[in-house]
Parts: sequence; structure tokens; C-alpha cells
Amino acid sequence: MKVRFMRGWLVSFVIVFVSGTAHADTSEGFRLSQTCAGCHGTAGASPGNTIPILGGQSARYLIETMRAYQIGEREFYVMNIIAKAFTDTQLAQISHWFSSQPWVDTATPNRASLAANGAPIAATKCVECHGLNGKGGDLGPRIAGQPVTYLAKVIREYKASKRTSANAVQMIIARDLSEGDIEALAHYYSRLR
Amino acid sequence: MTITRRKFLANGMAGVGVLGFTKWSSPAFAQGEIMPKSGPRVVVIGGGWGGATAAKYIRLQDPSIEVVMIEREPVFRSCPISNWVITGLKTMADITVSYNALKTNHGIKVVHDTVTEIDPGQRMVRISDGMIKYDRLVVSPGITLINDDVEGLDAAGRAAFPAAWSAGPETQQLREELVAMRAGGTVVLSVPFGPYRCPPGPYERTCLIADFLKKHKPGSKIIVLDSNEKIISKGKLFKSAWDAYYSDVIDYRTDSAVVKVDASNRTISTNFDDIRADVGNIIPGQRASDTVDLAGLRPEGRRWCPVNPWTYQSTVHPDIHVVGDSTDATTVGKVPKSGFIANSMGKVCASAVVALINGNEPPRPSMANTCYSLVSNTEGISVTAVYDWDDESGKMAAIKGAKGLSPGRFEIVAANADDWAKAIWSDMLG
Ligand SMILES: Cc1cc2nc3c(=O)[nH]c(=O)nc-3n(C[C@H](O)[C@H](O)[C@H](O)COP(=O)(O)OP(=O)(O)OC[C@H]3O[C@@H](n4cnc5c(N)ncnc54)[C@H](O)[C@@H]3O)c2cc1C
Ligand code: HEC
Repeated sequence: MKVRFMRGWLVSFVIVFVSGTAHADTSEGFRLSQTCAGCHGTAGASPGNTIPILGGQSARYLIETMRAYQIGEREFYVMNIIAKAFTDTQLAQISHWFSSQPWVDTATPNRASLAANGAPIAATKCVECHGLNGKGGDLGPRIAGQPVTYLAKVIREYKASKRTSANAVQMIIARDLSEGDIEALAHYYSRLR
Repeated sequence: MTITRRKFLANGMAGVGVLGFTKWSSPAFAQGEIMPKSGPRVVVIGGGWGGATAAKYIRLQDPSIEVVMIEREPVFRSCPISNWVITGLKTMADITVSYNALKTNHGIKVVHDTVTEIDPGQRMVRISDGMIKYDRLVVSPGITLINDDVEGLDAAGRAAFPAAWSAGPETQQLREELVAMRAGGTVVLSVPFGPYRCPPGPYERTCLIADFLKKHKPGSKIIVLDSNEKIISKGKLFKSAWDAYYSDVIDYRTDSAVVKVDASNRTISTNFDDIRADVGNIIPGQRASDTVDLAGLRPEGRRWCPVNPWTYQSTVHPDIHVVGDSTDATTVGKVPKSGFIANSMGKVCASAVVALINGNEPPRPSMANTCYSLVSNTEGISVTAVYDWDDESGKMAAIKGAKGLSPGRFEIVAANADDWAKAIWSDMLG
């Protein structure tokens, strides 16, 4: 879902909404995912800078992340509360539902010049887990098309060893990144389509 | 509640309205019919948080249902984030959203008009051009302010001391009055008895005005006249921010309901004090919007509309669903009157409407709430709960463990609040 903010009078939504998304969907995943849309956007197509896109994300990553929130391995004031509302089965249902939705790239801004600086760092540090195009792989989630602010925040948290979840082992690579590298990587991946 | 009972409610009482509203039995009523119906149709009254969400989510799930949404305003203006406009963090344009996407992306027929009559028996609503038929009606008309509780809160009183409890011209007026106020001035803000729309709203407004006064109007203060005996939402978090940042600016008085205002000498009175206000923001007590009375959805002597929270069917007329602030929380479960809850109710209602129209069992409801508030220009706090159906009470209840506050005030919470608004506006209107 692309959101364009017009200066002046109206905020209008320019939508690339696949209107087949939820037709006659009686699944538990759809039923339980609808409250998430209040923050993550319809079908997980988050329009903002700090709330990540969930639609089209890897199901395995979503399940692991929700469990990490549930037991406090990943700390975040609101997700820690929300994750506790669901059983493991329900978390899997919600995760598979989001995963089956179309990925909608962020419409938040990024800078081409910074993104260019990020490309060589990505090639050596990130592609192994997140794939050549940043669309995710067996080990890492999709990061291409997430908002810059969110990507940079997450990398900084790994760098500061704030995450204790299983994937923190791979993200040990973040420890050597400078603040400039982090910015460059965030712009690079946000821009990657 | 079992499906049989719900079905009974859904189908068995259609005739009651005719008996109760004899004026509608006259055939003249049908003569002004416009937009003749060809298939199943849902009419939605109110394109706010509950109504727009219900309209969109019905169409997402079953595009064979025609949805006609009737909203008197030409554009959507968001109450959430409107406090930010009052102190200049955002503009009216930032909180204004077009209804166009609902038409172009979802094929919803958006009619800009005021519903003046509802006939539950014939299943029709009247707008200025004539009558529109429905199979099911969704009503999400928001609130009406009970100005009569405060002596002097007539047109002149309200112009002098705007509530700004719907986003619009009064929001802008309050902003302009604050900007024009002299340094060393007094702002008075009153908090009504609950339940009212957005429990933390008056306290967030207090924080932002205090922040504004500190920066731009040295020597000024804000007196908060709270009808309640304490801060009724996120109390600890607000209190801690007030103590840290605004102890010299905020004068907070509990058990201080406003009983009288005098526009001519700009005086606001409680049972204890008369206060002269340079800027006055009187937020009166509230009840379900007058619109619900068109169909008698608010029983005599009650402020809100009782509903069945599995489907949001009115307990008075089961062909009519009520969502949003107008609903009676004593029938829904302990949920606040928030935009997030209205959005959640809109979705539960949409799934129920789609199921009922197709002869299926409405699914189990799942709801959530998060209310964000700024406590300064840069820091925010939040309260969150996820709700599930509780068999014992037959209402929604917060899931054990899945309920709580942000552990303090943080910049990330403020940034999330801004993004939450964008996300939920797109979820309702995009
Ligand atoms: C200052 C402030 C801050 C707030 N902040 C937050 C927040 O941060 N988070 C949060 O979750 N909630 C917040 N809220 C609460 C939120 O605004 C309400 O809970 C929400 O608007 C309720 O939605 P609703 O659909 O019931 O009513 P509304 O959104 O008021 O929608 C009702 C609509 O119905 C229309 N209408 C009514 N009668 C008719 C008729 N007869 N014909 C045609 N149209 C009609 C009205 O024009 C209106 O557009 C805030 C409220 C205020 C005042
Ligand atoms: C009140 C707002 C809110 C609600 C409701 C909400 N989230 Fe979140 N969620 C967030 C924010 C903000 C973040 C970013 C966390 C951070 O900055 O680390 C987030 C992060 C996440 C992440 C991490 C994604 C990633 O790429 O690492 C997942 C997964 C997630 N949420 C799933 C959900 C699910 C599933 C639901 C519904 C059951 C939900 N969220 C409901 C606000 C919300």
C-alpha cells in the first residue's frame, strides 16, 4: 500500500491494494491478524517509518520473532504485551497468514547516494543470510523495502547486543559496523526492490 | 451465546420496528426511495473510525455485498493526533484524509449527507434526496456532548470555551487562542466524568499545552478541573511526566466538575472556585450520538447503546449493528472509547455482517486496543490490551498477561504514535 502525503490540503492514499487479499477468508490467521493491522496496516502493508512491514515476510521469521517477543528475548514495550495474547498454534496461524499476503514496499523516503555506499557493505556482510536481493532466505528475513528508520534501529540494537534471540548469533556482524555503515545499509536495503 | 440464539435475534425480530414506529407503516415512506437495491446491501451511517473500517472490511471479505456509507462531512478529520495540532506539532492538513480511496479501491458508495430518519421495520434510512433501503445497517455515529450539564454552556458559552472533542474548526480555534494568548495567562481545561471518548485525551492535551506554555508563554499556567477523583487513564505515567516537566505549569484539581460558565466575563466555575480563563477548553460529559435515537437504539435513561459484542447487533434491533463510541461498554466488556477499539469493533462487525448475510455463523471476535499519548513534544506513553470472548460473562475480556503500559515515557513511543496514526488511517480509509 503506497501512501503519499500531499502538502496542502488532503492526505490521500494511493493504493496498490490487491483487492483479492482477504475474500471470504475464514481462516484463524485472518481472524486474529486483523488487530495487527491497526498498527502494521491492512494485511501488514505498514506505511510508516518505525513500524515494520509484515505482509509477505517469511513465516518462519515471524513465528520466531513472535516467540521471542513472548518470552522477552526481544524487548519491545508493545509487542511484548501483544505476543502474550496468543498460543503457539495461533502465532503460527497469524504468521502464515501474513506470509501469504503480498509484500508492499515502503513508500517512505531513502537517499540514493547513501544507498550506493551501502551496496558493497551488503555484498560482503548481508547477502549470505538475506539473499542477493534482500528478499530473505532460509536464515534471514526479508529486509528489502522496509523503511530506513526501522532498519537502522534494528541494526543498532544488534550492534549494541540488545537482542538475545537465536538470530543474534548471525547478526554478530553488526558489531563491526560504524554509524555511517548502518545508515548506508539501511538506505540500501530500503531502496532495494 | 449459541448460533441458534444469534440467528433467532438476527431474523426473528425484524417486525418489531414496524410496531414500534407506526409512522413508518405508511406507504408514503417508500415513495421517496432512491438507489434501488439489486442485491444484498449494507448501509453504514458514519465514516469515522468504526464506520469506515466496517465498510472497507465488508467489501474486502465479500465484494458481492453493496456498501453505501453515509457521512455528513466531506473529508475525514482525525481526533487522534488532533491534540498535536492544538500546539502546532501537526497541522489540520496532516490529520485530514480523503474518502476517495474507499470509492476507488473498494467500490464503496460514499454519500455525503446527513441521515435524518431510520426505519428499522422497513429497513430504510432517509437522507435529503430520499430513502435508501438496506438488509443490514451499521451505525457508528460517535458521540453527542451533554452541554446541558453545565449552566451557561449555550451557543455563546461553547464559542467562548470550545470543547474541540471532534477534530475540526474548534481544534483550530483552540490553537489560535493559545497562540494569541498573553504570556502569564491562564488556560483552563476541564475533564468530564467517565465514560467519555478517549480517556487519556484530556491528559495528553494538558501535557502538550503545558509544553507549549513553557516554551512560548512564560509565566502562564494550565488549571485542570477534573470531575474525577484521579487521572483516569495511564495515571502513573502522566503524573510522573507532570512532576518531571510541568510542576510549575500544571495546576491539577480533582473532584472539580465544572458546573457553570459565563462567556461574558470568561469565568469558569466549580462548586469551590470561580476562575477567569484567558483560554478555556470545556470538555462536557458525553453520550451516544443523537443519531442512534433515530432508531431508538439507546434505551430510555441510558447514555449508550447496548449491543451483542459477538456481532455488534443492537439488542433493540438485531438488523442494526452499532460500533464505536456509541456502544455501551457495560455490554461489550471493559474497553475504552478509542479509535483503535472502534476500528477493532468495525472489523468484528464486518465479519459478522458478511456471515449473517451469507447464512453462516459469525466468527469468534478478536479485539485489541493501544492508546498512545504524548507527554511532551518528543516523548510518548502507551496502554495496550488484547481481548478475547469470555464465555462466562458473554463479553469481551482482556487476555491474561496481554495487557499493560509502556514501562515509561520514550521517544520511540512518540515516533510509533505518529506511524500508528498513518497505519490505522490507511487501514480505515486506504
Ligand atoms: C482529542 C482526542 C484525541 C484522541 N486520541 C485518540 C488516540 O490517540 N487513540 C485512539 O484510539 N483514540 C483516540 N481518540 C478517540 C477516537 O477519536 C474515538 O474513539 C473515535 O473517533 C470513535 O469512532 P466512532 O466511529 O465511534 O465515531 P467518529 O469517529 O466520531 O465517527 C462518527 C462519524 O459519524 C458521522 N455522523 C454522525 N451522525 C451522522 C448522521 N446522522 N448522518 C451522517 N453522518 C453522521 C460524523 O460526522 C462522524 O464522521 C481521541 C479523541 C479525541 C477527542
Ligand atoms: C500498537 C501497535 C502495534 C500492534 C497492534 C502490533 N504491532 Fe507489531 N510492532 C509494532 C512496532 C512499533 C514494531 C517495531 C518494533 C521495533 O522497533 O523493534 C512491531 C514489530 C513487530 C514485528 C517484528 C518485525 C520484524 O521485521 O522484525 C512483528 C513480527 C510484529 N510486530 C508482529 C505483530 C503481530 C502479529 C501483531 C498482531 C497480533 C502486531 N505486531 C500488532 C507495533 C504494533
